[in-house]
Amino acid sequence: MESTWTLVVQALSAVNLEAVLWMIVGTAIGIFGGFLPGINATMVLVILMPLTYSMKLESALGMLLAAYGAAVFGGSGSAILLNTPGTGGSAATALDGFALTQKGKGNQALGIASMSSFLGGFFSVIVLLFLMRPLAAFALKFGPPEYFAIAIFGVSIIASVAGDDTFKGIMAGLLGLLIGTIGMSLTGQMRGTMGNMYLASGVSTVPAMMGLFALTSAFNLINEKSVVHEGTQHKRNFKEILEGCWITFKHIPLVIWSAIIGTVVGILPGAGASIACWAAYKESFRFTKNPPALGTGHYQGVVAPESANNAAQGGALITTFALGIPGSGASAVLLTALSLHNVTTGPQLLVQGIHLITEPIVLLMLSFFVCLVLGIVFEYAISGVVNVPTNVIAPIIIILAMTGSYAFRGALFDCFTALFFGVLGYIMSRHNYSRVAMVLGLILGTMTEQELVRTSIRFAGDFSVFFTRPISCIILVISVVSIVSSLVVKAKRERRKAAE
Amino acid sequence: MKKIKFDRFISHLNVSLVIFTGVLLCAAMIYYLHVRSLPNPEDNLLFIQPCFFAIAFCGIIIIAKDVIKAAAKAKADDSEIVEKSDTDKAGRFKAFMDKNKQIILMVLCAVMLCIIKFAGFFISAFLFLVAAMYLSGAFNGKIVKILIISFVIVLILYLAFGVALQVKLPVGILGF
Repeated sequence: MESTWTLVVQALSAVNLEAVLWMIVGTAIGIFGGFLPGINATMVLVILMPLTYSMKLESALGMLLAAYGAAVFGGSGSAILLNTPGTGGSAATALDGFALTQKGKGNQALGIASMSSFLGGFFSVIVLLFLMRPLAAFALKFGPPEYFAIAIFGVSIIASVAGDDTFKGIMAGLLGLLIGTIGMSLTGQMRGTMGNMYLASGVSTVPAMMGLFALTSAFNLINEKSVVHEGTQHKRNFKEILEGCWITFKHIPLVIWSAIIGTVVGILPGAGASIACWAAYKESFRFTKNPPALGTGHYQGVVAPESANNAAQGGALITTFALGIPGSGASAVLLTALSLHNVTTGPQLLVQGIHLITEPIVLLMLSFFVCLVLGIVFEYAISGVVNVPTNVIAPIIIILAMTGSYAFRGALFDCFTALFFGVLGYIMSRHNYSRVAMVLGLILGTMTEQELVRTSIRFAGDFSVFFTRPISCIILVISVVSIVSSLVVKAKRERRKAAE
Repeated sequence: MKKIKFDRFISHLNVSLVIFTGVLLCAAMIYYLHVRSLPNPEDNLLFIQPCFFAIAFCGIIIIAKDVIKAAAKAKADDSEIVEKSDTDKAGRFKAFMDKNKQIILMVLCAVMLCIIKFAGFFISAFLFLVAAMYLSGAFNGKIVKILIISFVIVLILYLAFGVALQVKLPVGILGF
């Protein structure tokens, strides 16, 4: 097996112009989408996915990964300038970032955000490159019971993405699992297809995600007046942005510490950027001389969350690639995009097809440089564009989602599927049912069921194998711990809220 | 008296949540019974059965939580129930639609999908954009602006998908 360094060097020399161009396009769209509140990394990816159908794998994946990283980066811009976090990952940035803007130091804050995002993201991608393969090599020893355990581990993520209402989140996830079993079963029966041949291979995830993410957001957006708070002013100044970039280097220990926190939180499935940013923000208290003053406009309060949220993205990719289970909505889209290119993720891929993955990851690293430059220019130029009215954006999102649903395999039926899930998702979001939980369920449903049935057939219905085989036993225990701990954390948070 | 108590209870109940959860439960049950009636139930149900029972458990808890909450609130609350006046139905409908523009989008979207077969993708998309923007009051209803924006968007779509990426989109009787 070649060393990781050789792989990186090989990938670097294989990078071609086409892939780089698409990567730049992805970065630009990612920053723009992330900047617009209401459009998060997941939605940017869903909307970009149809563009990749006819691309080469490395261009497609490179573009999606670049957009994925850039969206979180873009979200910090609107958090700082408009006190409206563009994505969940930049919620913590808004506290000190916007306070800085009010003090007239918005430009410096933008510079700091750009530079810390760059450093944090870069750090996590390096960890990704080196940690991915050992994890995958270990995962190669897996049989059906272990895969079932992994699927259950994936299902356990649902408990932590469930949102405010745990039961609703779990129910949404379980419904997703159930929908995932529609189609032909392992023993050859047509289940719930109602004679429709498009359903024989199951409910396709692409239109379902278009519906649950893109359409639902469009339906929610149309009733808002504008995507951002009105009446916020910002004077642009290029020099001050660059000054901000420089300030970041004075806080380098905090940058690194936050990047480590972000990466670790990102590796844990279900946690992701929106939790990482708060975890790092809390840590930034230790790095300030005057902790209570945080939130009134301190540079540390921007450095920490920005470094962490981008690091979390790289961390999440480790689980996505090495185990083939999605840890968040965005990585679920990435996995689907991979399967559209006939790539099955999981340990097999990383051992045999490592070249397929290294090049996009190297592109992701390059995209951080593009992001740094484009981001600074973009944030300099953007201020006026954010006032696009929602009644223009929403119809456009719908058309894009429909195009994507159709183009996926050329069936009008998929557009109706998307509309069905769009309406379903809208009602779900009205009643606090988690849509991410349902998508995760939908993706994991087939895998969970098939591995369970396979185990049952191979071990003649003896399910004690799950606990007698060490790896599957450990993974199952971890899953249970992860479910219980996320429920406990949630209960604690609620109690604290009630106490306040 | 009993009637008033019941009305108060209903007014605190999140009716749409209960109905929605009920519909989800029913859908899951129909699917479960359907799979049970198929051959090979022991393999087919291996996963679906526990999954269904868990859904039923969650659904019942969600509904029960809301009912208990509503009952507790109704007990604490002894205010009069305000009857909503039925005057000016048209005005109320308009106010409702102003707050629920997503319904317009959903209906238009369904209509668009139905006419795609005849009109082709690009014409339907254009009509959808114009109708959706006009009805939701974009650009203060200035139709010329809406037409131009819609045309530009469809043109970009055509160039991106039809020309650059060679993705096949549905053609209508007009041939594009």
